Amino acid sequence: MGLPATTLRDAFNACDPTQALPADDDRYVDLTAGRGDEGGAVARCRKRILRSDQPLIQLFAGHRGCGKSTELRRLQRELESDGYFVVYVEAESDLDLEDTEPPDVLIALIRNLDTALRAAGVAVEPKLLDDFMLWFAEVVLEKTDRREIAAEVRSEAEIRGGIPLFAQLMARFSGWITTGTESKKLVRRRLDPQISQLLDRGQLFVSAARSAIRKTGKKDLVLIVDSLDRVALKDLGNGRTSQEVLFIERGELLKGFHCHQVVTVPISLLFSPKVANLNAIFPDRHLLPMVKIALRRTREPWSVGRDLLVEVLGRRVVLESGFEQKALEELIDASGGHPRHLLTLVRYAFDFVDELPITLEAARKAARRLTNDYGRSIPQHHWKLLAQVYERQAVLNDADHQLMLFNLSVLEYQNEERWCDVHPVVVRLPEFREARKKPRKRRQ
Amino acid sequence: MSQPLPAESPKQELEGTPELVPLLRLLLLAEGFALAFLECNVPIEAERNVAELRQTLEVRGRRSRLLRLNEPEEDLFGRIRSQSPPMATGEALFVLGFEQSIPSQVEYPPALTRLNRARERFRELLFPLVLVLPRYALDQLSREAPDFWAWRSGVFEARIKQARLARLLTDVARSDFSVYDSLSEPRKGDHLEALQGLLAELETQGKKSERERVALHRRIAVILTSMLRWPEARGHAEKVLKLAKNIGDEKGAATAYHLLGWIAQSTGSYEEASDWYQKVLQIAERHGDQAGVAFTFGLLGTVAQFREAFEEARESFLKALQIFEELGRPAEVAQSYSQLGMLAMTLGAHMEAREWFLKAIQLEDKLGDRTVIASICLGLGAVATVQGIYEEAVKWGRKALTIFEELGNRTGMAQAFSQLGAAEELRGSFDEALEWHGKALRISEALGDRAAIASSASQIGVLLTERGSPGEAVLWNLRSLAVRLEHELPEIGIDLHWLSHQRETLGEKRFRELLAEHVGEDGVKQVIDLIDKFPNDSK
Repeated sequence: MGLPATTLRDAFNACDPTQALPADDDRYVDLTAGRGDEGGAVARCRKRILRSDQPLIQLFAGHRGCGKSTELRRLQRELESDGYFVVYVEAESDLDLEDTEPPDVLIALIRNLDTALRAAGVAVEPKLLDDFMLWFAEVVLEKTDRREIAAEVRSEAEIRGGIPLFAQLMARFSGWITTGTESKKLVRRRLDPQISQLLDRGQLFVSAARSAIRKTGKKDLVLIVDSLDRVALKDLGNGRTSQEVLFIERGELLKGFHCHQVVTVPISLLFSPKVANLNAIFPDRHLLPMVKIALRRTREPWSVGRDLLVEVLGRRVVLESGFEQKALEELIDASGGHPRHLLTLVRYAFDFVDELPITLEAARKAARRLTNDYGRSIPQHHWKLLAQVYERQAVLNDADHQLMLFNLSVLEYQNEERWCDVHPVVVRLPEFREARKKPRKRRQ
Repeated sequence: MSQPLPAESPKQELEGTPELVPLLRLLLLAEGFALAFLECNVPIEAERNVAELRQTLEVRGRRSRLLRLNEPEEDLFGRIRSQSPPMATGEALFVLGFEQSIPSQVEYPPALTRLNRARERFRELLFPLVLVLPRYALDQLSREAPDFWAWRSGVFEARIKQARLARLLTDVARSDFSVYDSLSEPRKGDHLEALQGLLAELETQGKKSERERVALHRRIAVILTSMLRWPEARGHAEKVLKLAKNIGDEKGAATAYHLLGWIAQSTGSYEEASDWYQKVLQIAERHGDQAGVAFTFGLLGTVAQFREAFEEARESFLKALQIFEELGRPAEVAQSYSQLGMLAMTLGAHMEAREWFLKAIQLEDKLGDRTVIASICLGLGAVATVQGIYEEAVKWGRKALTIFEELGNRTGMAQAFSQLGAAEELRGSFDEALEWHGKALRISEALGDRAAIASSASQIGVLLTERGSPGEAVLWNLRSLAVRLEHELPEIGIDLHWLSHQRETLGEKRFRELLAEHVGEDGVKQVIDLIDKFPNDSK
């Protein structure tokens, strides 16, 4: 498939909303100027790592689908060219994001670090790993399994370089965490009282890894933890959410390992009533806002952001033959500056044409479909609140507004100041128009 | 790799279901993983739609497979991966029955949790995946598996028949205004004339007759609504309001708001109806009239359902139910159960719908009002119909019919006939279905019930189209359309959809000829304009 695409089929397949772009992909467009984010979140993140003597844990937030993974892949590449050993951790493949606790995250970090070190041929003191493994087996395994592991450790010690038992054990743990509910409960019950041991032993491993990395000529270790922002937002009662428990109440545990880390965090958490507590635990944080397509207050079109989004499409589809000009504008309007939504809209529009270009009518139908999608997921009591967000262009620090950011009915933008607005397709829904028209009477 | 699509439009192959054309386009274009959802609330129609799509794909040289889940499946990804033989690249996979893993009354069911968690793994599938789900399940998936949902390439709806079915269901809902339903048009006229005479008499008495006139205007408005004479009915409702305000009769004003709401609801102005009902609610609350409050929540729920504000509808029905339970009113409790059942059914949550209706029928001995019992039977029959349980559908339809016959309730009988027709239709027995709808039509004609005439005519048109007689069908959908336009009934979209369909099947020339036969040359242009303006995503 040649890019940019010239046929309908190639164009359709070039606009895949499920793909985060690899670092060197030809389709990558630097959207920093459009995000109105001076210097860019990735650049700031990188600079801090380069300049800091002490390991930093930096939070990285942005809406689902706003391009975080693409930007983090770029950060990885840049840090690697700066001489760092970077481990990219895909949280969603190691964790059950519907039910995540700090020990799960710490073990996922150890597992990924171990795998990356092995892949790069960086050797860490074997005894350290064996000790960790035996301790871990003692804590989480049944007696019979423990004996098996101990025997295997002994035999492996004799034929060092054979099967990576440690990796196997970690994989088994990951399996328990990501699948069975019962096995997860059991492991947690055993591991929780040993959390300080986990931190100490894990830290020994991380320190040893950093030393080994430095010996290879690399500057230091950086862990990038992507997709942790996808942990489910659940109301746990008493004004607590699952995300607050993980990142705030038990947030100190996530800082247990001393090495540079860039950790994705749900954007909604930055609007939690407990955001001050979050700041106290994680003072370094960066936000990747939406691409701004309209000015604040007047909502007049803003050409810088819009042109960049046109370029996003232009890298994938030949613009002149691919889109009627007005269709392009309609698609960008309806996207709200959300890159994945833009691609989703384009995919939707392909369903309404038999050949290129995408017509204005097809673009309108695509926008209507995205509008209908939103009609499914917005809770009834949000309409009035959404109308208020539209007026104020700001959100409150409470659970409802957190949910609005989480489900993308409200998007965050930035230019010198942070501001929010209701997603443009939500504005088109009759419920929203009704909520804006007049204050609805409160029912019982 | 980059072969252009064949020149002909996929429309030509999906004549029966043009709303599926966009989905077909997606499946023809996708080269790797692409996620699509098809919303379909009626299992039998879901099967038909998938069969039609698969057949069309085959004609286009694209292979496809169907994964039919007959029991809950927590690990959809694992189930897909274990397909034997393994899916080939580019082969499309349709999944039916996944809604069994998404119970409508359970938050975050494990199947959705796993779907969200395993999202990345779905990218390993190198073929397009179509999940066919009812509305409630799709809504729940969008909220409770948001990351998986975010990867969709298309959400498609096969909903026009569902709209028809939903209408059939809501016909079941009784209202305060049904008292005149069984009277023929001339009898209604006689009543109206008598009441108008009395009103003229009272008007000569000036202010002292204002209270009586409130009641009279109200009754006249009610008769007029049953005759679909909306502007006149509205005029009388406004008079009720004015007079009630004059004499400080707040409850009288509430009846006026109720009437205005009913008129707005009947003509498809659901937002307006909701506003009127809100006023009724406020008055009922001020007077501590708990039954009135609950009744109005039922009305608000119904209009919310029409507006497709399903969550709001559910909240309202549940509030009504709670109050009626506290008041110990079994008939109204049963009605709330029925409303919740109808809502669940509209969303495709058939098991939940059945549970609600069964709860309602369990109160049978306490109800007394046999009309309510018959209505619940219709609801149960409708659920069984969409679930494809023909025998049960017929059993409940016949039970309703027997009750209505014993009561001499002819409107109810027509509804039961329609119900039995729907059961036969979904079974594919078009001739039997036509017979039942014909019976319903004859009763409605005898009664002069214009809305019911339109409904039966429309269903006959649909049946004839489905039976492969689009030429015959045109007349029936035109007849229905004319009535619905004349009386501002909101279901004109159903007729326009099917006329559009007949137009595509018959070809432009033949279709226009038939139109000209029935509506004359001037009418042809009007009908064509209406069809062209009708929002249909497949066009």
